[in-house]
Amino acid sequence: MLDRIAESLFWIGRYTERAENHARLIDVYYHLREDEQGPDGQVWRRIVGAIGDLAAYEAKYAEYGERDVIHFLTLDATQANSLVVCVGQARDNLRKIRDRLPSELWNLLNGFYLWLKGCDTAEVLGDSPHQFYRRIKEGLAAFQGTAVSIALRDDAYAMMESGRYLERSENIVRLLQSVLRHTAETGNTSYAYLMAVLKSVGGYEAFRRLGIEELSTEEVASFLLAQEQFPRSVHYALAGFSDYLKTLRSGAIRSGSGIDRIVRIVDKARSELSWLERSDMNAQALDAVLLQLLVTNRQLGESMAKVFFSPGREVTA
Amino acid sequence: MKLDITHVTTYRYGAPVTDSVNELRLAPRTDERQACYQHRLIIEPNASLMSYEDYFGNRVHAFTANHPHSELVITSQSTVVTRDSEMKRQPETEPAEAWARLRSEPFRDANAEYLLPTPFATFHPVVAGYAEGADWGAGQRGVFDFVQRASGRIFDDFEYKPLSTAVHTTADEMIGIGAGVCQDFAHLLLAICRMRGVPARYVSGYHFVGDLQGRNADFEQASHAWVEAYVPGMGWIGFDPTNNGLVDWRYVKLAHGRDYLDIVPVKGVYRGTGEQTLTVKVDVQLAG
Amino acid sequence: MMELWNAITSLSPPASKFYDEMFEGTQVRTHYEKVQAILARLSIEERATRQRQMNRRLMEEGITFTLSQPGQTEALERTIPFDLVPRIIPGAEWETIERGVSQRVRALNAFLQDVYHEQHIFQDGLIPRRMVLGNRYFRGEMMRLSVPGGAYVTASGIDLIRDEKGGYFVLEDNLRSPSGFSYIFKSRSIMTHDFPEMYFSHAIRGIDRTLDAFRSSLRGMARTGKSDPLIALLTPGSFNSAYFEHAFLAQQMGIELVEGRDLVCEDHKIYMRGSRGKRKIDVLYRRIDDDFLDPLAFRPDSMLGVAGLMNAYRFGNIAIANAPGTGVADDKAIYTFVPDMIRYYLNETPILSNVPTYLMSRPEEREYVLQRLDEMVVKETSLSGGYGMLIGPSSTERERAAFAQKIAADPDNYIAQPTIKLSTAPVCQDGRLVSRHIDLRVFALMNGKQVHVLPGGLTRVAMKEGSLVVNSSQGGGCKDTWVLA
Repeated sequence: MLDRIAESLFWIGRYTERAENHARLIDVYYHLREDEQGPDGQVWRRIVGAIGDLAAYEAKYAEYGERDVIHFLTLDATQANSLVVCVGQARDNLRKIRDRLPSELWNLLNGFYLWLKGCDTAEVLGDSPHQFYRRIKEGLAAFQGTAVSIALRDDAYAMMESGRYLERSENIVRLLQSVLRHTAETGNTSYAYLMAVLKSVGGYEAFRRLGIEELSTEEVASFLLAQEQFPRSVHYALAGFSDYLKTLRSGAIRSGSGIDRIVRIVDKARSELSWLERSDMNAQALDAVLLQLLVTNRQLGESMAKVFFSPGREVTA
Repeated sequence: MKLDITHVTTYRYGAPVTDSVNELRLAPRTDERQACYQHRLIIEPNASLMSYEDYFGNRVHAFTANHPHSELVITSQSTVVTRDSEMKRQPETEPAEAWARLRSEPFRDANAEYLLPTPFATFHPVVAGYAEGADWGAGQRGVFDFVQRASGRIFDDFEYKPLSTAVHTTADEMIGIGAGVCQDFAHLLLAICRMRGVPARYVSGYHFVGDLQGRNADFEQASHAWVEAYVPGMGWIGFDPTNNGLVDWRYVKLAHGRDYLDIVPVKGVYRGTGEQTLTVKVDVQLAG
Repeated sequence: MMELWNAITSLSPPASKFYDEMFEGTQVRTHYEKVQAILARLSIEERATRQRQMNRRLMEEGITFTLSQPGQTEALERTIPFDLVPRIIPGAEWETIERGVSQRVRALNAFLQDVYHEQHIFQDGLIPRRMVLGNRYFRGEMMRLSVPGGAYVTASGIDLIRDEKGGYFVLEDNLRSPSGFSYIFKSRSIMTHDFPEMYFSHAIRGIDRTLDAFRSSLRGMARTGKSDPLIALLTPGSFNSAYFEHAFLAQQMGIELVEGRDLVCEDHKIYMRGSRGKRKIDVLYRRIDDDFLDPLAFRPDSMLGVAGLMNAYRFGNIAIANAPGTGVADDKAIYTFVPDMIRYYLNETPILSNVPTYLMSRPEEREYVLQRLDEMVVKETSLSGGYGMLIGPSSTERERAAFAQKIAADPDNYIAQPTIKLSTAPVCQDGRLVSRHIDLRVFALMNGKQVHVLPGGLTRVAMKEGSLVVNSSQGGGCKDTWVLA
């Protein structure tokens, strides 16, 4: 596989995953505010903090309000992490390499992007925002489902999936960081809030099924970090990432040792997660664990670029 | 005369570069005026050479150097025996007949490549103006006299001045500058000849001046370019507008083409830093 | 029902000086009867809806080309307007086109082989040598170079138009890298999926075999004993306006899609370098111009090609389709000689005629044209120099005078043609049928000996009333083109 193709595939995986996470979060937070006390602005500020960039928002708007926040996070084409930009990035990367994946995937993602690009904020708020975000989740699910259903399980697929899992791991870590911030700011964490967090990753029922009694910050954090069977836990995401890298390594000639190094970093992080004791999960310890995981994620992203996407420049003499 | 030539081209790069792909036109030609006794090329880092004859009959060598390297050295050594072009002075065809021959359709067709303008030897209005600005003697005089006068006129009108022009300077630009190097003098003469219907080609090579008083055998002098024009009855004759003379035993011809672009002696493309320095050393000596 | 009939009959009667594909006077031609019947069953709204649905699908599948406009940061993505009324060519008529195009491509290929080797055609005085040597698409690098299978024009597109009597004429040969293949396949897919009752009521010659023929033509060029040669399509990249087509062809033929930066030359072989090491490319189907193919051989500032490609080609380590230098044969001045080439190389009578064309380098033709410049279209050839084009009927006295001077000063650079005639066909606009001008680009694939002609081709439509400009870059549309089995 060519360097630039590897790079595009990796980012298709990352951006579709990021878009899904954001859609889930916005949806849940949006509906959570009914439960919240205090001035309305606080809620919107928290949503922006969890997904986007507070400074970027404040540079644009004087205060936090529903319409502006929804626009900022969803349809603002100038905002690096808005939904439409994430989907657009995934789509642009797929456009560059669309011969490498089944054309059904391109048709799906492009159609989805064109629909999203054509939406306006009034529409989102006017109908039912929940309906709107569900459509987004479904659009992305259709893309991923079709890939699972028909894509050749070759290097291209492994590269795309490795991007997806690395992104997932990073998104969950950020979600947990926002939970910690929320706890610190409000002094306690409401039942409804924690439930919403679990629901945002589709994990509430799984959490219950595992018979965990107490719905506390510690239990939720432990579940989202170390649960080996839940697909949206950091542990599971890193395991997935590691597996796809091993697939990539099996036939590679050039970068075998580079890949080995990446696998070592992931596996180390995973085994540390398995050793986490629930008793260790106080806010301070948790904060340190999350920071360390962010560092690891960044390191992994950089190593991927170095091993797989090295660029070369041409000079005429 | 027997001449020994050593031509060393060295590229040094700011950081190691890779995937260098190169083409050389450094092998002396063999024709009625000169014979190449031996020629060898040494490439460092070591590379395997492939060679072919191009459209103009020049010998081209090609090689690649893919592994990282911070220096590329191309050494070309040759021994060539030259003589004065005896001017095959069976006098040129009678003027009127010679010019008529040049204007005939079959002749123009057969020599089309050497009659058309090129990006360097352009028929730009500035060049056309210069060409028409003087009586070159076309008409009454023969083709040989015409080219010789044109060559002399360029020699008189322009100053030979190293670094006054660049490798991409065209004939019209040189007129604007008023000075140039051998490449520019040659391009202007080409354009003038071709506009008058005289087939003319660009020649690259070496000029041996090492034994002459008051001249130093530096690169600018030793590595040279001139023009060959077709004179009915005489064939292709070498004219050197830079030195206002005819080509003699001091000239070693490497290649000819429509203009400089066809005969670039060393060219290459690589991946890596743009930071590079080029040194060229040419040494021409009488063989002992 | 009546409403529709009105829509059709109220169609502005085709101007008598043009041939209409569907109507003869007010009568529907036999091979369009079913089309007419099916369209008649739909209301104006239904047709409009159907048309929108088709164009939406083109957009969603990204069958677009990009138009970058000054002052705009994001390049516009446009679809080519697709028309729901198919263009139908009766089997017997097609048979003539197919033989004619095949014959033409064989002659042009023979011409290229001759130009780059023995040059008999110059020696025999059929074509002035300087017309070819001075052409900006002539490549000295190709002289005496042996081309795999003798195939210079692996893929070509021949543009046909019809005069007022319905006769087919060749307007232009496209031998460098003609585009449009993908639109044919997508048009067909849209008709079968979004207008099945129309499509399945006809027996139409399929086009799928063409991709096989294409792939096998490319594969046949490999100069290696490898059972599975590596074939790649070289694209300028995703910013190119035809990128969709490049991706489509690569995907449908199962070949690699590469950019120049993905390739490297090592010891005069071309490799693609990836995470699983390097793989040698055996056949390169290039969709970039000669000038940009190899910065070492051609334009040194090109970032699109791969340095060393021409030498790899010369030393027999890679095949290139189409061969560099084919542009000399599709030049506007050389075009006039194609019927002569057919007689000269094939000893056959030309099946398809040229549009009458006058060479300004011939005194008597020049005289003829200069006397009626207001009826002529004057075009520049690919010789160096040349300054634009004159459309006689819409020109001013002064423009004509200025052009007459240019022609006199440099006759080799110009040709002239009488104002061309394009046939008309019904086109659906907002559900109503209107008459528009069309042409036909026929695609041919050759492996050196045999020519495969894609049944049908790309019917291009000038979407503005009365316009003769069918180019997609200027808003032209397209139709699915059916050859009746």
